[in-house]
Amino acid sequence: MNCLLTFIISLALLCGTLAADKPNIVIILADDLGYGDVRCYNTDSKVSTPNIDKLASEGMRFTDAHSPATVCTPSRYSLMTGQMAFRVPRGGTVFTGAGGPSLISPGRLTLPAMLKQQGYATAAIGKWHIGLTFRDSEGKPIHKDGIEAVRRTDFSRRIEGGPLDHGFDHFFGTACCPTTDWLYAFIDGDRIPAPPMGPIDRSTLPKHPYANDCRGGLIAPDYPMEEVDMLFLQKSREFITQHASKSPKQPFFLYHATQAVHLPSFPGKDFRGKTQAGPHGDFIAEFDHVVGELMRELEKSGLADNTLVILSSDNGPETTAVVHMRADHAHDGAKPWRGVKRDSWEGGHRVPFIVRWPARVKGGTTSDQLTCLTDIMATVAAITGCELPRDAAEDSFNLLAALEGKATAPIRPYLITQAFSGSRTLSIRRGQWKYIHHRGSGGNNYERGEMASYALAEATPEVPAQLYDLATDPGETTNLYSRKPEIVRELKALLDLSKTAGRSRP
Amino acid sequence: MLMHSSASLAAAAELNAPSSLRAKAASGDAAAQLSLAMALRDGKGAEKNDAEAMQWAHKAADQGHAGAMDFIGFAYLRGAVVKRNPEVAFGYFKAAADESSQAAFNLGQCYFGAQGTAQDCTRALEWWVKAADQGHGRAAATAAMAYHAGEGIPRDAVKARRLAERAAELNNPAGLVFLGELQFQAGEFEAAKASWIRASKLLPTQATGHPSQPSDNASAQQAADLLRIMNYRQRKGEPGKFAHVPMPHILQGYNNCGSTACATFARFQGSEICGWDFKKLCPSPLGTGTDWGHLLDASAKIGQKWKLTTFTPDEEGFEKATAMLRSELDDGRPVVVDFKYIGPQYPNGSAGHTLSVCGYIAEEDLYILCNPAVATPGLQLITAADLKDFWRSDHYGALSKGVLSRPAFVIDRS
Repeated sequence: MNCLLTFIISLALLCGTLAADKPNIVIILADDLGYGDVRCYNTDSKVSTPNIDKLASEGMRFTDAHSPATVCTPSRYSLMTGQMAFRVPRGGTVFTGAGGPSLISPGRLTLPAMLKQQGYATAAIGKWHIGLTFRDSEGKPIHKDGIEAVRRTDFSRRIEGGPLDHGFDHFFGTACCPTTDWLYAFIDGDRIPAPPMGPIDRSTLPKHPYANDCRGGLIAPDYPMEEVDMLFLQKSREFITQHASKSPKQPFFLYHATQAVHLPSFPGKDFRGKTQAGPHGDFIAEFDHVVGELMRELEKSGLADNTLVILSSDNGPETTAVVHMRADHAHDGAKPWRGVKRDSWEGGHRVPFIVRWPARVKGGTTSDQLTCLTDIMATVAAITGCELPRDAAEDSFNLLAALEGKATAPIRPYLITQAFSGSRTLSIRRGQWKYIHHRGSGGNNYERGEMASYALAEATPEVPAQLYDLATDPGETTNLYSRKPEIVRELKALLDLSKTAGRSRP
Repeated sequence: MLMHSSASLAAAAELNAPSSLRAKAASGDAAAQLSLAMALRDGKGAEKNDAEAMQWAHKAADQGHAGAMDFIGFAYLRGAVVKRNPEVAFGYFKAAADESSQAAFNLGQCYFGAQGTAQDCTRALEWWVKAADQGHGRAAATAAMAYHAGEGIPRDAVKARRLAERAAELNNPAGLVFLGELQFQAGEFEAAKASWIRASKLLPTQATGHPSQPSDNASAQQAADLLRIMNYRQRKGEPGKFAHVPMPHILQGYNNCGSTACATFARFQGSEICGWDFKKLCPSPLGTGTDWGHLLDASAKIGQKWKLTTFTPDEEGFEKATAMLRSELDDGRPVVVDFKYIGPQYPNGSAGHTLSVCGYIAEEDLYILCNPAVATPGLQLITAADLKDFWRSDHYGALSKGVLSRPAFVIDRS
């Protein structure tokens, strides 16, 4: 008995921190929430976000934080693994419906798996969107987007490659965007208890320009298209409450990933008409409410002080939301950046990033550290006293010094981001310089369509790539590719080196 | 051309006293909010206030009112009340199209004219047919004419006739004009006459009309004109007295008068090209005006020989221009001309329009236009005085060099 106790104590010391000392960790990941959507990042935002603002006032607001990618799937992969998605096969893809398989290879250490090893209870609530394996009635994997794949799915079978296979103890949510495409059904654990029974009746759904992105998929009975985020909120609150009562000594990790504010904007009934900024404004307000309610639940359970809360977004705001909100409500979700979701320009990946942790992070502070969602894994590893193996979190940097206000120099030597076309549309940032290894946006079409009116004249359209000095030109208006060839060479070499090395973390 | 009009709603806006309408709108009644928006936009029953009109329309739209979404979409499309933004307009029409036949019609127009979205004529027809099924007469008429001309889609005479009859059932002036034309072409002269009489009585008409008047008015006027020239169209021309050169007609898509007029001119000479395909031979994007130099280049690309001829904008120039016109028409050849309309109703005070002249009646000093902006057959009577006034242009492209003249495309017989 004594030997066993000694062993357990030794193991805890190896990891550096006893489980009881470890903070709970809550990541609230918004979908398509723009830098300019949030009042504490954009004082001109037409949507009041008091709960997010409060979180910032009680924590640290990062002003130079980035999503790893400019679209959902690769960004979420990178958050869960600390590795850039372009480094893995199909790392630029965006799944829909029954799309898969999971981008996370079996056996790869993930953020939840790491925390589970550290004694954490782990739960994921909301949108997964990193790929799953559904099977047909013959047991063959489907791995296809679109409605036909959903029709072929045998919903009595276990779903593989999901959160439970990658370190989460609990999961309640959806395979992809909960109200956008093809499969409108909840996954509970690794099953769909109430499978889709027929085509969605869109005639009963709200009609407005922010609701056009709802595709005609198959839907489960009583699936609450307009109350999905309220249900996710309820599930996360239940998890917090139950955990606090049943396992008060065990730390937990809750990953709460909302549908808000991905189109279609279907604000719940309590939020409709609550802002002066239309349905999408109401949807942003609903997300803010979710943040507030999760914080209240933590406070109610007496956990708020020892919980590290991180709020961010998977990429920049969606084109249609930006175009319409600019015209309809003089609200700019991409402000002050050039570009939107899918683009390599800052608007595609510069995101809100707020950390609240009263024990270690001083409230009301800001940080201009170059930061990425991939960094959460190394930071959490440091906080929980875990040493990351070499073959994990290859693009993750420990931000703890920044969180504690002790960083005196940039933590990251550079940052790589990937736009819509994955490895073909990479950018690299070092200090003030940003090199975009391609022409144009890397995502949206600015020659025609809804973004055409936001195209900027290119003084040197013939050059193959872009270089911007963000210190003097944060709006990325002047391509210095031809004028600063030495910096282009350096950054391109650094990008090539990182690609070859397969990592950016030393 | 796109439109937002709902006679019943407009009437409701006028009938409602502003105070009661405001109270109802303030209470959250979406229909009242839209009525108030219309009253404020049009200055009917309330002092004109575009900004407030949009605010009320947004309140109604946010409640899911399809008519309000169409109102907002139309405002963005026209750019009259708010800054023009076809992409945003398209989003509103798309959101409202299932429940508003007017929005469905406008959505079809967006698809047809590449406004706020990529061009998709097949989808445009689907929406027009859907709107027609919901009782939208102009959508039925527009779809009928597109099928008849094969404009952006394969020709389908059966569908064209059925939709024309549907438009006529719905008492749409353009539909009646077009159905009358189908009847006329089929030798059903009495039926044609009856259709045109019905159309001509739907709205006030004059001896001759302004070629750029609103669609329904233009159709009623065209019907009156068609009745007037019915006999001429059945007779052989008499050089010096009258001429009518039968020519194909295509109802133009958004801002595509130049290419559509040229496509009909090309079709007259044996080509099968449609207006959009003619436009695609030119470098400028869909939905934008076309340089006459590019139109001339496009004619060469399809193997036709045209030439640009110009006349001075003065009295002497008009005499020479009309002498040329009559000579061409007497020889059985139409002429493409460029008009300039001046007035406060046009953005920047003026607007250009390309169309054809296909006939004249000397004793009445009248000319017959073939206008791509109005219902098929597009025939409109115009007085010589109006022709003198309108047939002048300094903005038909690089060839004009900014000099005001009376430009025309004629068939080059050299």
